[in-house]
Amino acid sequence: MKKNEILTAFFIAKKNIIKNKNSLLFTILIISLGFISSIIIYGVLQDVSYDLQENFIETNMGHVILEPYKNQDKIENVNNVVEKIKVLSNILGIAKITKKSARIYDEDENYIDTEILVINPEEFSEVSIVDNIIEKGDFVYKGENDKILMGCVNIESCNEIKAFDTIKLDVGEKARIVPNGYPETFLTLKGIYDHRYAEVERTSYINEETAKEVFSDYNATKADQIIILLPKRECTSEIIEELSKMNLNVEISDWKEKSSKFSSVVDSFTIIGNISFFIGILISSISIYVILYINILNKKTQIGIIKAIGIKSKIVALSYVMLSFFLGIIGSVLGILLTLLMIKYFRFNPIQTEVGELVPQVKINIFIFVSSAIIFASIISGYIVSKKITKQNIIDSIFHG
Amino acid sequence: MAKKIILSVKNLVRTYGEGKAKTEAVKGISFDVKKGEFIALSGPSGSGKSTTFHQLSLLDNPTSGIINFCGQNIIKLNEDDKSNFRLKRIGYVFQHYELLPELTAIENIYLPLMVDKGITTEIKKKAEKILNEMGLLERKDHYPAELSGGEQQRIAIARALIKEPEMILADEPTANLDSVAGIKIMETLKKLNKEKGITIFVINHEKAFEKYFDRIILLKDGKIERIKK
Repeated sequence: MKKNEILTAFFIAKKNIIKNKNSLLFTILIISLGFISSIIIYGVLQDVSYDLQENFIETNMGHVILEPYKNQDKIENVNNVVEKIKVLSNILGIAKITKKSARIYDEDENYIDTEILVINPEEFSEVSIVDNIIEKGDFVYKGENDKILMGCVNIESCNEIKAFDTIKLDVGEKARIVPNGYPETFLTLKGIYDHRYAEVERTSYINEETAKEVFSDYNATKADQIIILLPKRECTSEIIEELSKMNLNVEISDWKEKSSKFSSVVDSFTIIGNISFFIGILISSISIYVILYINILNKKTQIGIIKAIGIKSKIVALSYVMLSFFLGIIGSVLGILLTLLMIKYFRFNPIQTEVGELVPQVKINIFIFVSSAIIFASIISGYIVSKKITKQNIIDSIFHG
Repeated sequence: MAKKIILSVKNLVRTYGEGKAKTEAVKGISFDVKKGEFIALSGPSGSGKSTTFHQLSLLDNPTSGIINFCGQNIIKLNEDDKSNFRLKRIGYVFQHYELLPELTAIENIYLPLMVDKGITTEIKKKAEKILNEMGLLERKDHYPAELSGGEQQRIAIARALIKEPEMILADEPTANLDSVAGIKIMETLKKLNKEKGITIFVINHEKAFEKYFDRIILLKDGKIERIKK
């Protein structure tokens, strides 16, 4: 196609835009709504998946988890291992953990089953937010005996969801603890922590001094896990690579592998998110096609006139492809702006759920992908429709348009 | 010296539909048009005048027959060449003007030239010159909806004229105008024919305008009834 033919197509498209602002604005709005519908549900579900993982990472899992090999019971000489790891840069905190399970009774013999993590409070504060989310009472500190920290979900006065068993216990009161495989004992409830995600609240915490009294064989030089917190998720593989070179005689996992207990949920959300994403794009594309079809169909007479004065069909088709391209671009830009506005709104007014406060998460590559898909759909729609209409007989177009 | 034949039509047929629904709008007409002639096609409604014009201007494809324009059978041209024929060699004036509503008067006029020349000062000046000749220069930036019927028709003629075509085909150019505006259009066409030597072929059914034409071809039921000189 010659330069002047392209210029003519551009001129026709430009005049079309200038003189049909209202209908084109409507088209742009529809395209941008298509953009939002493709992206927003996907974004929310992405955040659910992200939050599910984040809930465990920030409370008691960290980004990297070291455990004994399957033929070993515990990580031996755990303090030496911790010291070795400390030389690595880009680590926010390291904490060793021993895991036990127990049944805790109140005075009325109501009980809950809980996992008790034995922690060094100072170390643990560096890898977990639990000490910062105390709802009532206080965190369990180093040097204190007979104290336990429990999650809100297990305490009747604190649990609003009522989805789990609870016991009647208040801060300062003693509870009867029956550890699995150890004699029963009494511990004072030192504090209650409240996390947005109830599932993580099912874990209770005691310090090493208390552990020595409750679990007769507790040995502070051994641990079930060492958890490591990093500045961000993306650093994980790099740190794992460095840890692997250190011959620590431990099994190294990342947060993703350890999320297996809820990975099926995350996978489901990811699948639903992806399906809704592609259905959204498909619906948007079909809407764009229909709207452009109606739009171009309304121009049938004009197309006939342009052809009648001798302008080739391909120039007319190109002008409508240009028009569709313009609509696709402006629709996408408006879609991006509206989506960003919605995300900003949700940042200040998050959707409250049990998993956490949801704010749609949309990465730049998703914006690029959806914009490209919308622009591509617009161009293809414009091309198909204009080709179809420019093929029609000129007389039919002008007099029966 | 005899004038050269610019258009020669032989056995032109246009039928619509098939089987029982088949309608013959033009039934094998033949005639010639000489270069520089001011000629009319006349006849009652439904006689096939507009259908004949649509075939001559290649807006529609005849069922059979030959249309020689300057010796070349234009029916056999491919689609791009047909577009070029309409763009460069003829100008077509519609009964209902058929201006593009998105374009101003001057843009409607110079649009056909843009395909070859782009938007240049030259084509704008040329359009302004024609508008001036038509007495519409002050209306150049008006959109068709802001112009009267007579003004729109003169813009449509200007659009046909700017291409400097060898022939202008005007399909009842005065049909939607009052008598004063109609006379103005006929005077304009006659002037173009006389001063620029353009062959002008008009569909006309008004007795009052018959005096303008060199010849009148009378159609009836898709056939030529007679040719009046």
